[in-house]
Amino acid sequence: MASKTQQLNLFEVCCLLFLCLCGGIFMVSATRVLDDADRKNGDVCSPTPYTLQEPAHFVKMLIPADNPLTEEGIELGRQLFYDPLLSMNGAVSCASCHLPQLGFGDGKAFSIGVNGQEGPRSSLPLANVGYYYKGLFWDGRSKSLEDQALIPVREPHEMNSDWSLVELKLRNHPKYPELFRKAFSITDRKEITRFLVAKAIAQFERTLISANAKYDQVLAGKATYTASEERGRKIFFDASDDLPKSECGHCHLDPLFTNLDFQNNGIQQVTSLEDFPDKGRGKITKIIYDNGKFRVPTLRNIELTAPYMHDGRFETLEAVLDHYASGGHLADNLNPNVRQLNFSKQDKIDLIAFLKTLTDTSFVQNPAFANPFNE
Amino acid sequence: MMKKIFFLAASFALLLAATCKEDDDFAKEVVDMNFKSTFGDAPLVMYESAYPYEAGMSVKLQLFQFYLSNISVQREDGSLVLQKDIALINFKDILTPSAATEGISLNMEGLAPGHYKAIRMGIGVAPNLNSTNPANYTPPHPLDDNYWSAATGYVFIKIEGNADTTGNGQFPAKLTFHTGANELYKEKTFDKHFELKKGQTLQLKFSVDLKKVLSKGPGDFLDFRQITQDHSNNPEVYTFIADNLYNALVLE
Ligand code: HEC
Ligand code: HEC
Repeated sequence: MASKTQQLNLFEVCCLLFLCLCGGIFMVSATRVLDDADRKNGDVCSPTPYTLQEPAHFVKMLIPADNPLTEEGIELGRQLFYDPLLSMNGAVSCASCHLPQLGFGDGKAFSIGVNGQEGPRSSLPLANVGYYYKGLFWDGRSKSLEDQALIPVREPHEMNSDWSLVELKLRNHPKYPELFRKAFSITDRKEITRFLVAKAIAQFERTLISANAKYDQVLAGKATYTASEERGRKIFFDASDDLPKSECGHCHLDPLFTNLDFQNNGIQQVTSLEDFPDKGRGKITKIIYDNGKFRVPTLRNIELTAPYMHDGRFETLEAVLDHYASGGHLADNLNPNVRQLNFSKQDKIDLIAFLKTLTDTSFVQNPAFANPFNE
Repeated sequence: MMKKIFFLAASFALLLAATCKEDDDFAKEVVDMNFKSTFGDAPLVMYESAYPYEAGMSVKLQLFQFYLSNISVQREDGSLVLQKDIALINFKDILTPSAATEGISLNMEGLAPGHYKAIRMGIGVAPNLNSTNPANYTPPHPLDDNYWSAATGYVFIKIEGNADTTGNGQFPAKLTFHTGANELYKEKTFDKHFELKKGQTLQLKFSVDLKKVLSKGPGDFLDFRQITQDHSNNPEVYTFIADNLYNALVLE
């Protein structure tokens, strides 16, 4: 009899456990469990939610549900972004190739990583990178900022390190375990992983919003264009039948100044689609008509991010305009919006004057985005 | 023993509650609106295929897309059931004949089983949506792109490609036709009696001949020897395209 009761109890316990498990999955979040554990230790630690100030004239930012922005997460992300600890030789940080004063680009045709190794492409500016939901990198090969942040550490021509090593360094660091605890409510330094590093960096990157250039101020009625800038604006957006057209706005669509699509803008002369020295999007999709296509880059802060194109082939905006005016090199996938243009000298001056209204000094000088180790 | 059964039952009830959403999905009625495009009689394939056009010219395409608004199904009593307020039909990724035969599917769920007599939709972006802009949306959304701020509205129809205007097999002429304006928005009713049965997936086959969008026939077509581009500047061109698309979109 006694053994039968015991048996029954055991069964009940099992069922209860099962119920709890179901309840656990469908109702209680993992963070809460951690919170309870923390509370027991008398050490409550939940990060402070951060509300992103999204510009009213932008699309809404897509933020993954499993990585909400928090003040502590963003601050940790900033420290990691500027910390050369992530690289093999302790000399290269993300900011080595993404410098705020250069619109978070690096001013080089090809980026240079540890031991002076040159990479295959030009750096990308990180302004408004949180909005790039159709894929990151020139070829869109990375789906999210969380995915992307895992890559530079192990790229030989970038940081050339090893994630297990970086995790070890962070776990044994005098400062980071505390920052991770505050940002992600972890209770043990062993819980510091590459994925939390990536989450923190992604949070920081989502705050890198550039929406206060003269262009934005004019939209908001807080500034006015000069005559040259206004004429350039009309040319850029094909907004006047009395002025030459530029076709720029089809791809460099406002307000992000990119439609996020992949296009061949005709910079490379090829005899067949197989011949692109860098196949760009085609290398990822394996579709031949994607060869030589690259993600349309933003023109925000373009004044600061020379040289231009994925291989930095143009030193100046004048050279870029001359390229577009030529109509580009023909290829089966040359985008038909790249067509011969009739620019006068004045048209080019005015277009460039407009492009310079996309420079956002309050963005590049924002102390919240600056190197925390210089403070 | 009763207790044992109770616990077992409770556990299973919970499991069921957790999964019943899927059960619902299983039984749902679906109307699959399928869109295919052709150029004349040939399936429309981007980049690769060259299609004979008027006056000895040929064309190749890179992009053909258009918006549909207020997609509704009409009951026998004449009342309309709104299924989707906006959709972008985009053929840009149709790169093979088999993809062209498959077409693009727009699935609509939640329509009650019963008898219906027509499909109604607007070609273009309905004025109430055309007064919004991408800042009103979280991507991915059909209206997060194709906004032309200088015209404060969406581009309803985009056709891009290349033309061989001399018959020499080269395609240097660059074609870009971007059409959009409130006055071009028109709703069309496609008469079709059908019964949606419980749990059924019903396919409605729409097709659009792009050649008919560019040409009404040998005497009346967009002549790429003279015009290769219009971004809703020339009413003669953009109304021609919009009217032709209205007629070219048919339900089989
Ligand atoms: C050695 C220079 C270098 C370092 C170090 C580096 N990057 Fe980059 N970054 C680049 C280059 C070059 C590209 C473009 C590469 C491509 O598209 O193939 C890029 C692209 C990116 C992009 C994509 C932006 C876009 O618009 O799609 C992000 C995000 C980014 N880097 C973040 C980081 C982060 C975070 C780190 C540190 C963990 C880092 N980078 C370290 C050079 C560097
Ligand atoms: C068909 C789409 C398209 C059109 C039209 C277009 N661009 Fe581009 N633009 C691109 C693409 C794609 C790239 C990147 C190409 C590469 O690096 O291979 C680019 C690159 C650039 C760059 C370099 C950006 C950087 O960070 O390196 C500038 C500047 C630029 N375009 C300005 C313009 C101007 C000005 C116009 C109008 C005269 C224009 N574009 C028209 C697609 C376009």
